[in-house]
Amino acid sequence: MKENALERFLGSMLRLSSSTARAVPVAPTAETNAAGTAMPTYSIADQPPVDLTEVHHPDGRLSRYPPPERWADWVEYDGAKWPERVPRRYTLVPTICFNCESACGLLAYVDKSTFEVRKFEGNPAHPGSRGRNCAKGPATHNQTYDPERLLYPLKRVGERGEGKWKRVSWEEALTDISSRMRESRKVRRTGIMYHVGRPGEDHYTNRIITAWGVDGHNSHTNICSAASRAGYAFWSGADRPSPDHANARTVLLISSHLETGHYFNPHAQRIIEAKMNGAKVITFDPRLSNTAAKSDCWLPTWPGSEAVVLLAIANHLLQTGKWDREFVRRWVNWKTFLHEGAATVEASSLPAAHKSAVLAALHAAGDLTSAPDFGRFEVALKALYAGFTFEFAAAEADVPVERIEEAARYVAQAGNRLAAHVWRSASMGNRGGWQVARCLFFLNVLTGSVGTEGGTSLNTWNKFVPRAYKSPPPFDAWNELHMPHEYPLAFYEMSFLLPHFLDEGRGDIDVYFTRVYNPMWINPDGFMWMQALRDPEKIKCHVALTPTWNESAWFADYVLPMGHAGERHDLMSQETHSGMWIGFRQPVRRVAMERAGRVVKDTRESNPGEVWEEAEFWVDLTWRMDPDGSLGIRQWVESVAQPGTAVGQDEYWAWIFENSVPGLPAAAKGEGLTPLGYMRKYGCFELKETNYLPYEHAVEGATGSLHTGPEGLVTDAAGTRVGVEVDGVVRAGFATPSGKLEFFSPTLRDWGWPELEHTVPWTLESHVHPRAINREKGEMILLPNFRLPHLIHTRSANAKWLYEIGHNNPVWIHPEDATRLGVHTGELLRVETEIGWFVDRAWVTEGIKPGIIAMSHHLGRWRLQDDAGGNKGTTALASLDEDDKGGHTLHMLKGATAWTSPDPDTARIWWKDVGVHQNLTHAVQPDPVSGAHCWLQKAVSVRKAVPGERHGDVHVDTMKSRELYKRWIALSRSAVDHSPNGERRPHWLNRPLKPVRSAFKLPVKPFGRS
Amino acid sequence: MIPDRLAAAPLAPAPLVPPPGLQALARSRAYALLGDLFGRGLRAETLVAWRQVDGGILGDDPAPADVCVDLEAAAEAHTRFFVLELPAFEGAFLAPDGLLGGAITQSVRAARTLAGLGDPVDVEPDHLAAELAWLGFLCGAEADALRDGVDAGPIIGLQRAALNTHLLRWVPAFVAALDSIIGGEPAGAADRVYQRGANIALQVLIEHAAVVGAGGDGPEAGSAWALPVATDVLEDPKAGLRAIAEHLVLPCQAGGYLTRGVILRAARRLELPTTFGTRADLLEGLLCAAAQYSMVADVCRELGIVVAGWARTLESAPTIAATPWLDRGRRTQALLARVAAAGRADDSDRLG
Repeated sequence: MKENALERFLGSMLRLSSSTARAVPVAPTAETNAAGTAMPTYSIADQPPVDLTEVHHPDGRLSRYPPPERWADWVEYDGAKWPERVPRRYTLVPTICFNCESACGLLAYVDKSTFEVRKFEGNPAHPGSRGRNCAKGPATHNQTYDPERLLYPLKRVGERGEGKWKRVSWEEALTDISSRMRESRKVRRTGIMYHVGRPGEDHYTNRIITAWGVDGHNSHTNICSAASRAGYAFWSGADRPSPDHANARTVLLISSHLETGHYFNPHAQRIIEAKMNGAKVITFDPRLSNTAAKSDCWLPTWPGSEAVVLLAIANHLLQTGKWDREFVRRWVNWKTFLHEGAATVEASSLPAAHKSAVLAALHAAGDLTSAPDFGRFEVALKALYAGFTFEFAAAEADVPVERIEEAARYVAQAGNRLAAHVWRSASMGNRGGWQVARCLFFLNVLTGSVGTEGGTSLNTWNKFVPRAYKSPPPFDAWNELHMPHEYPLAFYEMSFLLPHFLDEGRGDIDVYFTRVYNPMWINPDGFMWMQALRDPEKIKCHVALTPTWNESAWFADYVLPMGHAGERHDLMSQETHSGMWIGFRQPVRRVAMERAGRVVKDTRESNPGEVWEEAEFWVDLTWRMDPDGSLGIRQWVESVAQPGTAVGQDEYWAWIFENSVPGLPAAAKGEGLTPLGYMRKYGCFELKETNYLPYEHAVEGATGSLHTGPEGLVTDAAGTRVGVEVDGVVRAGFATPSGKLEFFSPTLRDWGWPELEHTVPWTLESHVHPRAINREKGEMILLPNFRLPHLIHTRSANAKWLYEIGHNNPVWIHPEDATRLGVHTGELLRVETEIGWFVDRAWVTEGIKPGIIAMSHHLGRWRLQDDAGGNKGTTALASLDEDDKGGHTLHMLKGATAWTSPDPDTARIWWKDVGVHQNLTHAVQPDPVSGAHCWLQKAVSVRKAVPGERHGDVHVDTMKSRELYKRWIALSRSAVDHSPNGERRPHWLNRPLKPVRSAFKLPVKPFGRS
Repeated sequence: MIPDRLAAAPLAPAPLVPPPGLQALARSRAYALLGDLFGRGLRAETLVAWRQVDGGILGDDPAPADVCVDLEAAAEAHTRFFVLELPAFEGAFLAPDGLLGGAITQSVRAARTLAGLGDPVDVEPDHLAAELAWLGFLCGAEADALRDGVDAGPIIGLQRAALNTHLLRWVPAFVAALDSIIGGEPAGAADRVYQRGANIALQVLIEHAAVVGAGGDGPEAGSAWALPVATDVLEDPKAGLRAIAEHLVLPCQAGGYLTRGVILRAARRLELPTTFGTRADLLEGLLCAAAQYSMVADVCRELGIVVAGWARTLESAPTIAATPWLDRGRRTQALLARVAAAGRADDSDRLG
């Protein structure tokens, strides 16, 4: 600055006007409720901040949290006001995140004067998440204050999908819906359907549906986890793994658990702990995920080859003697295999010499009553898997043989501390994917790492679901729209085929609830869903329960505003680690108001607008469905304390916490609290710190008139299971028909799948096996189901922070393929599936195998009106066209845009690309055994887009959809043809809601049979 | 809150050479506004004042001020610069260990007490915002004294001490560091606001020092301009890359403040991987990577460019207070040359 410039500068200081005086904002002190309508305001505290407490994590890290004894009255400086020191006064209310299934603990900072939520942070008392959260937890604040959220009940005015709505009262909505339900229930028990995405709670709604006396539960399981569930259930009776990552020596992931997945945050922190203690991490993934990048051994397996690699590792363990022979002898149903396995081997396609070796061992085994020799089983086992060499696996998987040897070495080194996990990925990608889970658990069995410290437990050992104050009996009904006869072993409802079932006349629905679920968007073949949702003859009344707009709700008759994580009561438990806990989701404003002495009659008084919590909604609706109690339904939602009135939330949860959670009453008493008060304060309770080897527990008093089965299953005179006898001691055992781990599955054999490749851990040829993909013709595999760490399907679409982190889903393509197609990063690709095509941008990367293209399936949201139906920053404006031949086209008109709202951040939206809705172009591909949708798609053509093909455009021919559906359903083996006992499904297998036994009887007139 | 003096009624048009009382008032307002700028960032309330200022932080951008200054961007730049990159504390520059809250903070606190001032309400007393506000207070007191016909000498003495003992000793290096951050990247309007503000502050300080007889090399200044004793990290034959990194991130040894962004920018230019952690961690990681890829000399060259940039800023500031920083910068250049030579010789045993 030159001298005269400085003079001018200083001189002008003398000419400053009095208008430079600034207005000091007045801090609000009154209660507000701004969510969705304005940005919240917070009061200024008249106290200094409170000191944080230090929490020592098991991994040695030190974090600081508010001490629980000060949660009721907490003061801290407002970080957003820095460098001013503005103290704010909060009451801290724990709740549970609702953005994925992990059920991590959150701590809501609720302003003590305005009752606005300042932020959500981690709850240090939560045993699963231990105070830590991923990005989705704090983003609950975005969802709460989302200016586009639904605040009032809406009713359709015009035609379905026309976009005309009117605001109605809850009274009007409840009266209409409940009367429809009542009329339906009086006529049949299959007319009401509750279709849920992630439940986010453990028993409440299922109890309500059971109370209705209908087979009404439909889930998203068959597009999520059915195959893994099947694989684990055929082994053990429990349908999920619960790896003890933190204490493992080797962690084997067929997933990307360090960044996503069930249960991402609780698992990731424990995997890291294991790594810090020297554990090795092995990851199978054709994509270089962040998890793969952090692994000691990454196996970029060709999709569908995973089971081959796992069996090669199993074979290595067997042939080198590095397996836990004693565990297998004690806990595997090897006697049954020796006795009954010959037929399955005879029927196999094993080479003759190979087959002879196995059969020689089996034929020499004698029968079950003559104490068959485990040594012969060992011989048979070694012979059976001898063909799975490292070289064979390397060729199938297209990975270096040394990499498989390395993985096998790590598995062998694990001893009985092998933590292994698969949930979606390969299991849900491939036809026969359930065998991936079965082969993976085979490694746990061979290493004896089942339920051990550092091993893999089963979900039932680490998850706790309490019972309510009274429970309705099982219903007497079987809805073929859920569990059709073609899929007797499905896990569970064949939900993604519902539009096809409706289309071919299998039934209709009187009242259809979609609950925080967007079936048209998330399922494959979305245009078939759209056709079903638009048809009032097939779906007579569609009620969308959702906090925000979504593509499916647009076609509903009612859209009812439901609460986010801080606006509802739910109880949840998850198998996040070796312990066992429950978490309590709470409406945090309501709790804060009650702490301040306010009486809140129902949660609508504390939630934004007229947003309601489901728990109260279901009680009210159920009461109205049976107002005089004549249907026998009302009793299940009636208060015990005040008969004749509906049960309230305090009464409901107080009973559970006082009577149904072991240890909680004593813990509460220790703090001078009621059990409900304890849960309101901490939001969680740890029932067990660890729960290892529960199947080994000796059953006390197992005497009297007992019957012992061939594998040692012990039952009493009434046929009730007592336990399983192992070396003379009756132990708890497993929830299988034999009480043992079922290496050989009589269930699969008896229900239509007797071949070797189904009855024992084996490989099944995927629908995307190299033989099915003609790469010379340009065919590729579309890997469409990988997750992003910061998003969760359509649930996170209204979280601005999460979308700023990532908002598009380009096509990952290897440089070799990109060169062949002449495409560069950012250029448009047209990807054609078997039923349609879409256009998306290419991302050229070596992070994907040649021959495969990959896309995250979280993105590509759209809306049909500019100012309704979706958040402008997270959805694209689109239009729909259709011809009269089944052709549907989604045209993208405009990407994300900035807009003016009470939230200034909406004016700062800087991105346009919000991804491409690829799921529309996926044909339904139901696995014939597990019922899982096999997500991997054959891309029949991938080419550079030509002029006129625009980013985000999608076209589908639903006539082809129907053809593909028929082709896949033809692979199934119906219970009508294969049921061994005239029932629809093995009774021992789970269903989310199990009807009475008599309902299992096969239908007199099965659909499709003359 | 803007000090009352800023909100005072306008005075009559200023004479060409204002009398001392008005000069003091002008400085008082300037320090208050500049202090607010570095403490809280450019805000709507102070933008009103800055728009009335000639040659101020809004500069000569052709666009109208309300177009070229986006308050959101200004807030973001403030956080980026002074929260994430460059701590605006005297202690960070002058303390032998580069840490905050030590003897230097206490020294400023004691000096404020002499003037009857307690601790600032929202920052430590050795933050640039607090020091400028402190000086602004002293200038305001001088203006009041002159207006009331009271002897302003003691107050001017306090100003002189504040300048000699504190502000002039480190603000030149602070300005050089901010220039090095902005100079390496395309600067937005908001970035330039703070760069201009820092340079204006330095100019006002130097002008003020000249008026009150500070900033010289006379006996009154004594050894005020000396920095903590220089060390030669390479004297220790066992010194590794960690020791070199720790030496270079100490402003009083390196001759300036090597920010995270500057380190990462050097890595990006050379396409070398970087690590996470403190500035010393980052720099050590960069040097390690450079050693692995035989690019130690390249890293030293990049760092040398940064040090040269500091020198350009310091040399343009006509104050003797810049001299020790320039000396340290020359020592750093020499050190970098030796490290580069060692790297070229692949003396990996010695370095790593």
